[in-house]
Amino acid sequence: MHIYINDTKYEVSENDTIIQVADRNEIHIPRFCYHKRLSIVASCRMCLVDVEGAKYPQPACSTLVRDGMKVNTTNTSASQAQKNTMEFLLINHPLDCPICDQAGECELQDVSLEHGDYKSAYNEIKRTVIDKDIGDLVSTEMTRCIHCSRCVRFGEEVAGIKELGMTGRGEETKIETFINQGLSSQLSGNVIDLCPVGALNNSLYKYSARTWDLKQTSSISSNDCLGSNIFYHTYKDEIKRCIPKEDEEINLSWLSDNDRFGYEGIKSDDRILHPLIRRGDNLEKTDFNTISDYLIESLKLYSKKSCGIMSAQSSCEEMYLFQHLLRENNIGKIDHRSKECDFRYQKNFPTIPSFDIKLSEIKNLDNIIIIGTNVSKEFPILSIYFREAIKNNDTSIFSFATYEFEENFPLKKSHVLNSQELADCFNTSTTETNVDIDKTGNNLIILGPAISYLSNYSNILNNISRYAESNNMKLSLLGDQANTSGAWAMGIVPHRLPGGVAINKTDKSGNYELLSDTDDLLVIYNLEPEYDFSDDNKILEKLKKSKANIFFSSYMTESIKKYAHIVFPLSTQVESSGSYINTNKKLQQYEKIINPLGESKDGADILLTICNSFDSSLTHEGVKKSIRAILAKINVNNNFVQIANLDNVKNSNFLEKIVIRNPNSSNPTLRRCNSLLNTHDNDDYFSIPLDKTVSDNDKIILNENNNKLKLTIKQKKHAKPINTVLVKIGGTHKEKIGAYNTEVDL
Amino acid sequence: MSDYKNFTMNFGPQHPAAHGVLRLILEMDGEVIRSADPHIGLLHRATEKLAESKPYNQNIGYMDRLDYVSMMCNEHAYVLAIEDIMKLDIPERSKYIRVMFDEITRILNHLLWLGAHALDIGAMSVFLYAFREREDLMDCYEAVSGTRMHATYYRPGGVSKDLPNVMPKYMLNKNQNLDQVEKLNYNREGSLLDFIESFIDRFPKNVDEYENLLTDNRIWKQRTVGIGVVSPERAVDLGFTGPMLRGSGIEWDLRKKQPYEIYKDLEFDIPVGTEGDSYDRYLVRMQEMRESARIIKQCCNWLKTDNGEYISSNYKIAPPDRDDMKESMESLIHHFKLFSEGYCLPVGETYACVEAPKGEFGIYLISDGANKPYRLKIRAPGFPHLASLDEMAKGHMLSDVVTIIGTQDIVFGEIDR
Amino acid sequence: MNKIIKFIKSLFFLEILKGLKITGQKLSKEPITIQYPEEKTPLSSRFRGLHALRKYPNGEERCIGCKLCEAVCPALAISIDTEERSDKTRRTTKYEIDLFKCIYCGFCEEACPVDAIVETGIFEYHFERRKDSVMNKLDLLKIGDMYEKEELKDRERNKL
Repeated sequence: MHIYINDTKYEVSENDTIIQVADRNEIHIPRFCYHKRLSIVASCRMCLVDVEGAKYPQPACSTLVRDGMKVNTTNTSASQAQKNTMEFLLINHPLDCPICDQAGECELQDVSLEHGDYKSAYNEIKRTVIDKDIGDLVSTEMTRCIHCSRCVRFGEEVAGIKELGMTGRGEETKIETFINQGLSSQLSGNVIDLCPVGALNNSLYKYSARTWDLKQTSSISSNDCLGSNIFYHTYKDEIKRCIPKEDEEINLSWLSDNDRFGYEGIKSDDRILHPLIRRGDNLEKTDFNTISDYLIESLKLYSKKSCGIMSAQSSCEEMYLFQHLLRENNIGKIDHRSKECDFRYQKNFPTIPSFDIKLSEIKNLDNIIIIGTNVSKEFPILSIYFREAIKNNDTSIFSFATYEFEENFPLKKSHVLNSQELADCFNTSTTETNVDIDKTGNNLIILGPAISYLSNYSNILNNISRYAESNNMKLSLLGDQANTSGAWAMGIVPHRLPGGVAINKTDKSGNYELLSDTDDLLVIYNLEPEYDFSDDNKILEKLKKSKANIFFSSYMTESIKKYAHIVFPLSTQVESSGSYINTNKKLQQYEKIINPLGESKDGADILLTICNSFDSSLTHEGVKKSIRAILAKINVNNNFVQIANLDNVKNSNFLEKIVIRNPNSSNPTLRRCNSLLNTHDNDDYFSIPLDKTVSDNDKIILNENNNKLKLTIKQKKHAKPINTVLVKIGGTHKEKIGAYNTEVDL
Repeated sequence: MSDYKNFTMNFGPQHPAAHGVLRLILEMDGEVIRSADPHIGLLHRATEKLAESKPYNQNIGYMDRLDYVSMMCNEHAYVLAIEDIMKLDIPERSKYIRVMFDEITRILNHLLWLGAHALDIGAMSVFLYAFREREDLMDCYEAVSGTRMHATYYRPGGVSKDLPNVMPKYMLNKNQNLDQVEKLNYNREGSLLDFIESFIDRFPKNVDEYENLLTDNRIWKQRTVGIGVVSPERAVDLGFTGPMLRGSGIEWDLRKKQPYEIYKDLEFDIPVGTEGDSYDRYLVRMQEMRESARIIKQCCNWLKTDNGEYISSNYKIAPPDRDDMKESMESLIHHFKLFSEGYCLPVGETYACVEAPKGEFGIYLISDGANKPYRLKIRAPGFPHLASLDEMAKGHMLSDVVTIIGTQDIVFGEIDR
Repeated sequence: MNKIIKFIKSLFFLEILKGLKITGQKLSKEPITIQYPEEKTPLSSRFRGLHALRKYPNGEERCIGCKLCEAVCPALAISIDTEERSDKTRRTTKYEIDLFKCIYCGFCEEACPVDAIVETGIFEYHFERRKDSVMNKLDLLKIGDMYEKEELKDRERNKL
């Protein structure tokens, strides 16, 4: 089949529309409402083209090709139609270019310049629309709207939450949020990119620069393990905004709000700008040499009685150097799993946990079992793939979690279970599991990061692995940080060297304790004691008892101020270069976007300088090369983790507490993005089972491990899971919340 | 006589007769020049490279600063190149305005050349008289563009503003009474065209004055006749253009041979020399001023009867009317895009040249379809002229070098660019 | 015969006398020089001199921080920072023109959609310290206030 566009012959297939053929062959047709990833409405009429035989010009976006069709995109009939459409579109458009942030990259301007007339024949009063406040992330200027409905279709089709809608008819047509709500979807920022005019704007970018001022640098997201590709736009060494970089393997044309607005925190007042050293009760400014010497001496002094805990948000380079530095000094207790408490699984864990299948293959799956993750909140980009799968293959999606939540895609069935029930429900040896799916299909189990915070994680992992293997399903493991896969591969675990090489020791891994043991030296890398550990009481106790606490941190917190002996000012991800291994085992490099604030330094630089005092042969290039070599050698077939002789640690009759962490505050920078937190992190609650009561309605007192916890947040009651107290809390909570998963008394 | 040797001498770059920043290394055999080696580059500003980083319109201002005594002619070549790649037709009125100002520029240039040349050789008064006339022409520049020298007046598609209908006037002050001021303002009552016309009417008499002072003057003749003789063949071989070529007897003028704008509709003659010496070139330039005045007169007459557009109404390259811009969305968009991003030229390359006062000023422009030049090469007439300095000065006395530099009419803005 | 005339002319310095006649005539003419600063040459209403930022009659600054002047400035002399002011309008926080970089081409004035930045007729100014050449927003607004009347007059004249 073929058609002719502007007298040139093009091969086409059955269901192509004219605009698709034109786009493929780089023939420019103006458009506003058409977007390759959204449905076709043909409402803007900008893409009118002349089709031979048709009486009037036809919209290229909705006209299907016919064999031998002759299309002309530039003749008088087509260009006159385009010119007329353009004139009507501009009739009600305010004369805002000089103050509009879109100006310069505005499709309306470009199309007007190319296809429009010079002058308007319209002299009447223009329409105005009163703006509504729809949140801290997206600002509106609805008078500029041309009703292309891209944002509305995005909500319906891609994000799965109808947040914006079109109301009214004719000149009264408006794009509004329903019932005065703000945008709350984790994908809401994408409407900014979609809007072809300046109606929906980026609030953080508002009026701060011009499009032509901006320097574009590509980078990798540091906020979730998918590793979305992004462009940072900078002006005068400041990040002005962030937009998606199209990547067909990961984030398509979209970006989650965390990635888009997650740079706001780097300008926080909490930033540590100088190397600090403790003098009496205070931390005082010093220089890098002093604290480097302090670190080296401490490492030598305490050697084996030390412990290094590192954030999995760090780059592979930092990780490689960190473990190298510690292991050179005979320190084996290195870990990145600060939020976990059950490590019995670790010997059998895959060298590099991964998603196992390509994201683009999700759409061919028959059944997906999601365990312990609220995908649309934690992995918004993944939820787009799930929606596509449902549309494409009618995929059934099942959810198992410890609390109730909403997803932006339909769930076939959702189960709310406590930790013991979760383990039992996939137990193949005892009873028939209560998962009712067609086991012959192409199925996938996804295990979310929140499961790993449970105290019976190993049991759950073991049961699920056995279940998956016996039913011929694939198992995907999602990490809670950008480089969780990298942390495993780079040996930021106590029992393995980089590349998964086991350290030859007698099997003690089952009794491994990270937080309860006392160590003389603590090196904490890019983690905040208050927020990043599975039990804040325990880590603070540990810090109090240890003889030297060395922090690498970008931000100052109360506990760092109180317990740190020295602090290395770390630059944030955008201020440093490095690489992440994403959940598909893809190594992605990112470069420095802006210069580090103050005296803060790239962690890899700091670590390399210190390492060079032991081993002068290390270089940045050498480290990069080793990382690539390590990754190339790793060969993992599946993610199954089967552990023999595992005890059941839980008794389901006790009341257990499960803390649910908000994904919008999963790392130190995100915790300081105020606009993001105002929009997405306003849902703290404390929930008790229906049959329990509390005496005081304002606050709740919990007894756990001889600690009393007081919480004064919103209270709720729930039917499921039974015997469980749920605490959902954001990243910047003031009160101590205790252990993530433990037995409690009310 | 082995005690005597040739010795080298530095001439410039701070020598007033070096016309700018020419550093000349002279090899002297006593008073006689054995070789002259001009060193250039002291005024290099990388205009060609600079142009590659700026949208087309923003480079117009830099063209003024090439040959900074014939500003608008440089702009003219540049806008012609852009218009040529665009295949853009410009309004008739703007063509006349451009030609008129090209010729005003020619007079400006020749007056400066005359004054400076005469001053170099030893005649003081001409310099003063030439600058008296230049002042009026500078006023024309200022009235039309807003600056006396670096006009930034021509635009692709026409010129930036129409000719003003009023001339600025002398103001009453404590030194002069009303009568005196009115006397000064006698030719400023009407429009710019009236002012130019009154200038043109008296200008030939001024040229007569200069000629009376110089043409027959024995000192002038002794200093110029037979100095720096270039044969017609050598003149062509050396790449001479303009009065330098015509002084050697070659009848070549782009305005006649490759007429641009409306030169083919205008009546004027091309003066040609016979001997190819400095005196002939002087005569050619004097006659050129008279011819320029003739052209300006014809332009004035035409412009007075015309009320057309001064710039193309193609708003993709020319800014829309300011009042429209504040009312119509389309105009605002065009205004905004023009001043932020500029316009893109189709892919192509061209060479556009004009008969600048010093010779053929050309712009070689390559467009890769972007909003700024891919490559801009400037063909400055002064460059080949200066290159021939060695040949022209060889065998002459030291004092003749001054004459030769003067007769070449070199300006370092365009040579070093 | 010609030779004889030529000889006589040459003998009596006739061509020199002709020149002296011209210069001599000028003795009785009024001088064309101007006694600056008491007397001044005419100044075009289009003159492109020192910059100014104008205000609306109600005292509100005109500039809306669109940055067109900054974008069009060939010499990169203008430097602007913008933000959202408390009344939600787009305003500049920094508006600087480096007069040493400026080439007085007038593009900023042409580009300004709200007639805020103008080039006034002020051509007599000097700097005493090097950094004085950078005019900030306050300086420019002050010049705008001082020059507003002349500016309006110039605008009237330009319309003629």
